[in-house]
Amino acid sequence: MIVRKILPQEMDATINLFNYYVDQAVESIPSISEEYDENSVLEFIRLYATHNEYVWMNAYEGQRPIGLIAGCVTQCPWNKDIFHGHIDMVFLLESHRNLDNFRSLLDAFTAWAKANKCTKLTAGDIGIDPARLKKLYEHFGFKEALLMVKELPE
Amino acid sequence: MKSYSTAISNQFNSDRFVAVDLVELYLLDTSYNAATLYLCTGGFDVTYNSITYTAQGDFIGFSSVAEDFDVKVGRFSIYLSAVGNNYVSKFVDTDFEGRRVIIRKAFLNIDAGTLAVIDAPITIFDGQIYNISITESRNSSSINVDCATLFADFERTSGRKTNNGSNWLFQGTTADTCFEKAGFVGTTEFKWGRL
Repeated sequence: MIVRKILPQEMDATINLFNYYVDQAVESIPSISEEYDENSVLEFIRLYATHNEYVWMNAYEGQRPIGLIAGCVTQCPWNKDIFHGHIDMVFLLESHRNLDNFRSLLDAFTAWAKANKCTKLTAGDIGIDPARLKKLYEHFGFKEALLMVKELPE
Repeated sequence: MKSYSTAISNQFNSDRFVAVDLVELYLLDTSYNAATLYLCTGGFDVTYNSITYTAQGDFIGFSSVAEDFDVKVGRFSIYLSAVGNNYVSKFVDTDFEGRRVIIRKAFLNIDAGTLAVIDAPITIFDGQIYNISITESRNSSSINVDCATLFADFERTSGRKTNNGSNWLFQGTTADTCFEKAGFVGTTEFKWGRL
């Protein structure tokens, strides 16, 4: 398995992969299925694939993308010269979901973050099984912080 | 032959510089109001003349621009990959033919760390759209914008030839004498051709 940034011609395959992520996220957040907008997804992936402060990497087995990791550089609120790499989402197809593959995704993101002068990694995910993801991140040395979600009344 | 300002020349001669291409596509919306697309190569948005050019990274490409002493129609293509409906509709909902296209090469100030555009960018192509092809796939589309220099219009006027009389006929004025030396081809042999 290799992990690398996506190429323009791999957009369709990447969206297909992202749709697997969405399908699983819908199980814990059903409203996603109604909110899903194909154009927004395309623009979202395009933004992460084009701008230097964002990154979108796929894990490939042969030509087939089987996982993804996406994130960005964030600026430290108390010092603009300190940067953190933030993992927005990480996903592996169920058939390829194991510690080694997760480590490969994390290593690739870490290398990208270091190249962008990041000194710390943060991660958060509101999608698939946050409890399992928390254990997974802890296994790789992440310490628990807080991410809260609240629905606002209309 | 192009000439450059001292600031741009210094960048050319520098051992480190950052340059991006700025693309301006002067399209119209469905109400025939200006809906210009400002795009740039590279991985960050660039602001020039208070206009933000949106970064396209590897999702934009060009064919090479050829410069020539001969008067001929310069062709040029811009490729936009993996775009959504919002981009496609900008081309299919309106009359794109003849809309202006400008490509500029901008050098960015890397030494100051601001990445601001240095001096005025160099115009490397100024022409118009003459064709667009869109390739759709399951989730996205690719747009190929074919452009031509202003001489495209000259070629397109059916029957116009490169002599003053023909040119005046189609222009409706005799002010333009650019072809006065082009109407005669003699038979005197010279080593380098004919006069």
